[in-house]
Amino acid sequence: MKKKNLVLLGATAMLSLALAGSLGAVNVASAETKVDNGKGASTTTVTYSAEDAWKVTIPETITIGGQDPITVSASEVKIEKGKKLKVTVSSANGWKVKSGDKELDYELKKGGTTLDNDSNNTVLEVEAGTPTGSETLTANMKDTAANYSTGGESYTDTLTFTASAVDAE
Amino acid sequence: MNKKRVLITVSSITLALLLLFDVILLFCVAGMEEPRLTTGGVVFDPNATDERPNQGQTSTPGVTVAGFSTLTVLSELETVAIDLYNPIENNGLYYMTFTLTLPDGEGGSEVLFETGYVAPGKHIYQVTLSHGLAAGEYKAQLLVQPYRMSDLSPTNNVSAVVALTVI
Repeated sequence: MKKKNLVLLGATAMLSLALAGSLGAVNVASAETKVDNGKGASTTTVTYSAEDAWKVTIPETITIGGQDPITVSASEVKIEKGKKLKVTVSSANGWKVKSGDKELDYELKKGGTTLDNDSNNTVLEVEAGTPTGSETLTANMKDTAANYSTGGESYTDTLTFTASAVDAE
Repeated sequence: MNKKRVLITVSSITLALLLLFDVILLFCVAGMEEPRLTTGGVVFDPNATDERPNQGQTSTPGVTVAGFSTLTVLSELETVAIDLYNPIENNGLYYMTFTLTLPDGEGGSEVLFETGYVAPGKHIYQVTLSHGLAAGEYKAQLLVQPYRMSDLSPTNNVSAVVALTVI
């Protein structure tokens, strides 16, 4: 009887040891497969990438002395933080409307500023983070040019609006 | 006596008829002529009106141009992935062409690529450069030229300054 009890006790002890060992092994395996940064937390990477882009709407033509407002606008502006979209204007004919070899001077203005040279040709500026912007311009014949007729002809010029992303001041 | 009475009667009737005729004639003549306006003896033409406001040209729509400020391409490769498009806002109004140029170092510029007409809502996703570029940073110009659909005449245009990175 005593021998039987001893055998039973030993078997139980061995079984317990085996069970404890297997649990330990599982724990080790779990520790090995767990993504651990040493602080008990997991990490992942978040990314955002967006190309810079914008839309500018310009007048297809400008009628000097016309009734319609001359508007230049920007929309869907997406540029790098710390920059601004700058739109300037230049004239193909040096601010003259021409018909053949005949020409007359005109001026394009933004408020009270005449847009006629590199230092005074900014039409519109839109800061990064602002998706839209708009400015209204005026066009008039310059000085005595307003005293001339055109003999039934149309005098024309072509404007180029240059858009660039520059450092915001 | 009777004769005298008859004479007087006939004369009166004749006179009355003459008067009536004059009145009728007066109204007819008055109906044919415009009433004349006078002030201090000056006769004004009734057709004269206030000055009509200057009609000018009919309202012309704006041209919408889509652009970008940076472009990255692989060095020495001539085929470039890009997205050039004519915004749908120009539907029914303008075609566009796109021309990318680089300064040639002599005050002029060289054309890297030039597209044909692009209709509103259409994109160009790939272009072929005139030659591959060495790695580096370039300041390029993308000229977007709109054309009226009605007669293919050019309008004002947009030039985008593009920071071109070749890697």
